Amino acid sequence: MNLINEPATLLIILGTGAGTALLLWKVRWMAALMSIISSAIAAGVVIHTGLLGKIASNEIWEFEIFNDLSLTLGTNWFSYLFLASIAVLAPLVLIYSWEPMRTRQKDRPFYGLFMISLVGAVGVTMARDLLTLFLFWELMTWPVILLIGDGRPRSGKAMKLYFGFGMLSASGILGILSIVSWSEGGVAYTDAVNAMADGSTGIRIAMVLLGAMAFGTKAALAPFHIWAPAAYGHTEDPFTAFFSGGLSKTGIYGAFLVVDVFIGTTILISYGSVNGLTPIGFFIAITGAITALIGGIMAMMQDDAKKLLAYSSISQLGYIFVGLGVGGSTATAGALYHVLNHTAFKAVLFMGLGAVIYRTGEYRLSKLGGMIHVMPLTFWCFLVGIFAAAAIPITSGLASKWLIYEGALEKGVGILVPILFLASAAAFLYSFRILQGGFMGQLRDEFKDIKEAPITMLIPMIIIMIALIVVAFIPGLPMELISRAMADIGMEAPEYSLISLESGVGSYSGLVVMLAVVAGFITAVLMFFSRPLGRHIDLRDTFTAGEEPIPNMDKRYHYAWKFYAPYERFLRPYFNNWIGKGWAKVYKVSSQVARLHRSVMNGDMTGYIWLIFGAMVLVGMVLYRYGGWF
Amino acid sequence: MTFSTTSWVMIFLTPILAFILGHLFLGISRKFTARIHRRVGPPVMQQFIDVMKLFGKRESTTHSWVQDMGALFAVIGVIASILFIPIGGEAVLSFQGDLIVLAYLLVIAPLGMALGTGATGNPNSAIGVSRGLMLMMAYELPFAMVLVAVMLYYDTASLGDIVAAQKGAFNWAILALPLSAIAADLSLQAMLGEKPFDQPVAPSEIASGPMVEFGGKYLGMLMVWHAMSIVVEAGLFVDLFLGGGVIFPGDSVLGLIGNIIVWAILALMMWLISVSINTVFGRFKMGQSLKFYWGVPTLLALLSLSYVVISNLGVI
Amino acid sequence: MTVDPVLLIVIPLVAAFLVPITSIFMKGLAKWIPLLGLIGMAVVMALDFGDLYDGPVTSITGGFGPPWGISIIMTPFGGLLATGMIGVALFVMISEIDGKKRAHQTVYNTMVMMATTGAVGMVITGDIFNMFVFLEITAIAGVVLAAIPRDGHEKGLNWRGAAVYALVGGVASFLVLAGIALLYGATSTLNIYQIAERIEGVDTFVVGAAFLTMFIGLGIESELFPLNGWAPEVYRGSKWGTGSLFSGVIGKAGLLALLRISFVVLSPGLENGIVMDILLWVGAATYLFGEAAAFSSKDLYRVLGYSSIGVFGLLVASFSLGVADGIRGGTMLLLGHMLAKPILFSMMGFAGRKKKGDVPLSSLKGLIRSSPSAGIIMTIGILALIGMPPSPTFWGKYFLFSAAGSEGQWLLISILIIGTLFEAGYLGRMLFNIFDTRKERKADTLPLARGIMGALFVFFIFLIGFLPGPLEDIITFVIAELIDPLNYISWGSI
Repeated sequence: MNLINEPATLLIILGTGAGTALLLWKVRWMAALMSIISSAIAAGVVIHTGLLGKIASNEIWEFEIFNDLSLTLGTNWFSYLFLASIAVLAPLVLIYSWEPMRTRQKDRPFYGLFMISLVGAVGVTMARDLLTLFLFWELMTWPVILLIGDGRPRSGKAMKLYFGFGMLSASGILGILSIVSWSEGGVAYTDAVNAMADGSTGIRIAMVLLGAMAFGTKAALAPFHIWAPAAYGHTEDPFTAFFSGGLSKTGIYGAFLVVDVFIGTTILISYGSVNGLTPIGFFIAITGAITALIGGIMAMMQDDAKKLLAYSSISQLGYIFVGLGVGGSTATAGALYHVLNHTAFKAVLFMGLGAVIYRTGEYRLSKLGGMIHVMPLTFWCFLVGIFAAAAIPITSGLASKWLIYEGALEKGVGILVPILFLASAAAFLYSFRILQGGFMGQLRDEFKDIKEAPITMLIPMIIIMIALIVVAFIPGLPMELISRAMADIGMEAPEYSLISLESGVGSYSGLVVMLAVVAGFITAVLMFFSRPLGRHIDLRDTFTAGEEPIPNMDKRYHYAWKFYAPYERFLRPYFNNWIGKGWAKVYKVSSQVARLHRSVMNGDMTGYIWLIFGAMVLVGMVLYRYGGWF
Repeated sequence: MTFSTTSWVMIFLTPILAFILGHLFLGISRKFTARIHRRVGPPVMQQFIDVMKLFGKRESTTHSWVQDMGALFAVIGVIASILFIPIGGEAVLSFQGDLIVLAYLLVIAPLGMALGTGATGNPNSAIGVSRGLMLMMAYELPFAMVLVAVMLYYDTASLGDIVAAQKGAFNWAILALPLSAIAADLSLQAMLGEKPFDQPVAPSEIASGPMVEFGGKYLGMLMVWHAMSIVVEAGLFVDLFLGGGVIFPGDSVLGLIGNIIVWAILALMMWLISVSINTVFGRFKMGQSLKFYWGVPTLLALLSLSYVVISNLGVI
Repeated sequence: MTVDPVLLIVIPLVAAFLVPITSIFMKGLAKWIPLLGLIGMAVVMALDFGDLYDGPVTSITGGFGPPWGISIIMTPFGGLLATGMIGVALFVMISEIDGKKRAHQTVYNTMVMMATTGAVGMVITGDIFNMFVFLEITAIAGVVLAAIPRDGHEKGLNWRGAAVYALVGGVASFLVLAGIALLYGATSTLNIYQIAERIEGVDTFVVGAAFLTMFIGLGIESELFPLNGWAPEVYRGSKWGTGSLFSGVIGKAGLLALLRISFVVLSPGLENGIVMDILLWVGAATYLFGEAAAFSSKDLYRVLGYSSIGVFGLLVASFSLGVADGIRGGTMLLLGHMLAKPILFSMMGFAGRKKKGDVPLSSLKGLIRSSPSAGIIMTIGILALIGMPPSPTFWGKYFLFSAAGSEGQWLLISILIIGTLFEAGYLGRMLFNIFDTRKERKADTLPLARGIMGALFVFFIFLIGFLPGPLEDIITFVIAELIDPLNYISWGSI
């Protein structure tokens, strides 16, 4: 069966699920079941076709709308990479959603909206012309807005930000569409490629900027990122995993499409390059690095765990943009690798956090704590996710970042790597903050009796966790897919074997590193278990410098509020949401301008008569000057 | 990947070597500090005795299984990272994972330790860990610039190749990139956790911070980690800037042993520089350390990095 | 099946006469006669609609050929528009059937029908003076409609709006009449296609003057900037139905008249396609000003009024691009607006019916909870108005963008994007209020008729949004009519 090359099949499977889920939204279990089944079938189809290698890069499937206008769909390995990461993640998140959504108030068609947005995301990766892309883009973007309002304070603001930036993104795509249609008279991707090949520098720069506006917004690229913390922070908890893990990837996909497919290396290099690094590429990379840094440092300062992860997501996606911008085989492979990694670990992180929130109803780190004692399995999954996010070598997280670093080093970009390192340091900081605040420390009395996350929530997390660890041994496995994807966009993958990756300046053998870790583990275990196990004592039985512990002390003794206070004091002035303030300023100025416009049409009769008179004179003058009147 | 006999031997010897050297370094430093203080000081072997004693304790206490895990992680991380540091020019595993891998490997131990300490529920340890991580962020910026400068200068990310490239008289990176070396040494001070950057431990403020709830074999594990990490960090500096201690031709076993001894002496020297700074300084506040590291060392590292980038471009 | 399109004018006229007569002896029936008239129009339209696929449907009154008789040319464009107008009028009338007694109901119903008659007449007539007569009918009906106040404050009439509209409508009529006189003087015919035929030889001074007067006159009717100062006043104080009619029927008729006279008749008579350029930039300015003003308004009636102004600008701009895709986009936008705006007016009228005076945005607060059906219908209306796919507006904007792109009109594209963002701004605000469920609101049932009509229009939105293909044939004729006057001339000379 070669289902995927009939892309409509996939969309019909998912669309059926979406439709049923939407219609039956009052019967939530039916809706859940239908969406899980349809998305699982779709994921199965995607995996099956991918494993068989039956991706026909050139086949295009058309659906005629007007005589001279049809929607086109198709898949190649490059889009398959994104398609697969989204389609495989979806059923996992849907299964995960079963339990938390079961008890939730039935005030919105969660599954229906989820599925529509999934259909949109899948369609985006399959589109073969800009119009189809735009259609599915909108389909993906707007259902989410109803999942954002979670009723917490400021969730309304989150919806508004999402809406505004969604509009900005849509306008960006429309802008690209106009450029391409102006240049070539069509909107297929091939037209876009031709448009860039024929176009002037101005057109190409416009393409990059509009691409940043359209796709950078979705992928939370600074300065278009300010919607993300708010939106991720306020979506329905189960959906956030898909929102941040899956949907943000379409933005990355679009960015790749613009830079590597439409414009392409040849054109980029035609503007001169240093070690193969192009000016446009450098611009993208530096924006990505700044995004990574801003995201990291902002994440470090959050008490709201979901916001912390949201900023972390921004930071991680910044790395991908660095890889994209630096370009060349190593960095591009790194960026694509990071797409897969980020999909997995961000999903597991939001899932783990969601499980904690589901059990405790608390999302502020300063109010949580000690979850290791009650939710150990969740903790393990979350920990592996955190390790992957912080690129600790015992997970697959390192491989992608390593490739990005090496790519940047190959091209001699001196300034990018330190910024990324700093962002990485920030990643350790926020990683530990969420671990310490949520899972370590004192367990509060009211959470003493909560249970481990339900099995339906654990299974998806465990699946992803295992994947993250297994890939750490064999970092070459995803490279199979990545090298095919890169071949489809005309690039050569870096050298790799199943267990190791090579770049121009170094090498990384996942297996050896893991074996070294295992060696360390054996030594440490021998050392540790040479002596009897420690006696278990109560959490409150701690050193208090001779002071008598006060009753009710657990509230005092969980150190999580303003965890990095000295740095916050130091960094706040510089990271005081000035980008957000800038956007607020833009909004304010445009409101004033709008008011100015309204004041012209204020219904004042005297002025109005003058306006009519003025218009008459003006039109007369125009007619006289240009129309050959008189 | 092919491993010669020497490599296999080194793989097994390195952790043991690091273990011995680390405790030796600590013992020497205690003596060294004592002499500066005009005390007699404990014997050089005191550190070994301490660790033995800690492991010999009949009973130790733990607050949760994560605390056990943390102690394990600390040792795992440090053993894994020592294997990727060339010792006396012998690359061990470093051709299998370059500086970038090492930079991330180095984090396993502190992060694992932090996990363990966080799980004890004592706020002092959380404060200590938070300080440690903040400190890391402070020195990471100049240190990353140093790493990048060295990597770009030698056009390789492999530590083994960097060491190999410094072979020969006056070929050490410290001569080629003196500003980087200064910045790296300044970063080393915080990496080693010596004054004025010992805020994470700060015995008088937060009761030894991370270690506060650790006793018996748990503390013993942390001591091992601490001792070995000194070797890793000082050794990294030697490999980066002091030619990896390679003086003799490393083909013969004798030459290799000579190189390892030179490497150890150079690492000890770096450690003692750090210790001597330690003895004469008080403790910075956290904000001060950040300001310090993002000031002079960053500037030095940036200058050096710009020099490397510009000279690579072929402008000068 | 072809029915004589003149019935579209005859039926409502007969119905209009019947109203006062029946009201003498059967008051109950009089209320329903306008509705019956409209339904009659709808039936005629439905029967004729299929023929529009083959080209214009024509009819000659009294058996006299032009220039003596009045010829009716229902071009596919006019037919499409007339269908929409009748639809909007039916929407307005049927939505208010809920058994409640309203003041001025009979007058209102009659005037809705009269306005529709006038508007339909304007778009299907082939005679320029006839067009003027229908313009007058529309305008007078418009004045009365503007004067009828909203439910809830029946005490006074909306004098301000009515007076402004009467005054300005008078000016407009005078200017249009002057233009007609100029054209008649120069070509000695009143038939549009004959004028178009003879315009080549006419002195540019006359053509220019005619354009000037007609542009101002019809521009006032179709709410173009800066001639639309009356519109906010009318929208502000009148019923929601009046708003729907002004934006969906009366204004659209003025728009078509303006387009037809400018494109078919006058544009060939002046140099450089200047007429198109003037219309394009006036349209763009109207769009920008309308959307910006809507963005900064607080009162919902005003917001929707300004929004309609903006859409009129958008329509004029897209038709005046002068390329096939622009006209295609314009037609889709026209349909989208005619479907979405009445929904918004109707649901807003429902949500804000208890408010005296201004209806602030907050009156929509929690609508999705208090009345889910109204909330959903309004949400779809809003999304359709912004141009979310699948909606006709989406296709419209898509074609417009690609047309503007293919013409290299970057300034226009930036205006479109800025305008769209403003539009998204105020429509988004409405959305957020609808979905803002923080405060509990009393449950509120949507009257059945209103709900059915809303759902029907939503259905049409989706139908056209998903399957715009079948309209393609009609749109081809629209393009033919507006791009090349010769087509219109050939259709007219029977």
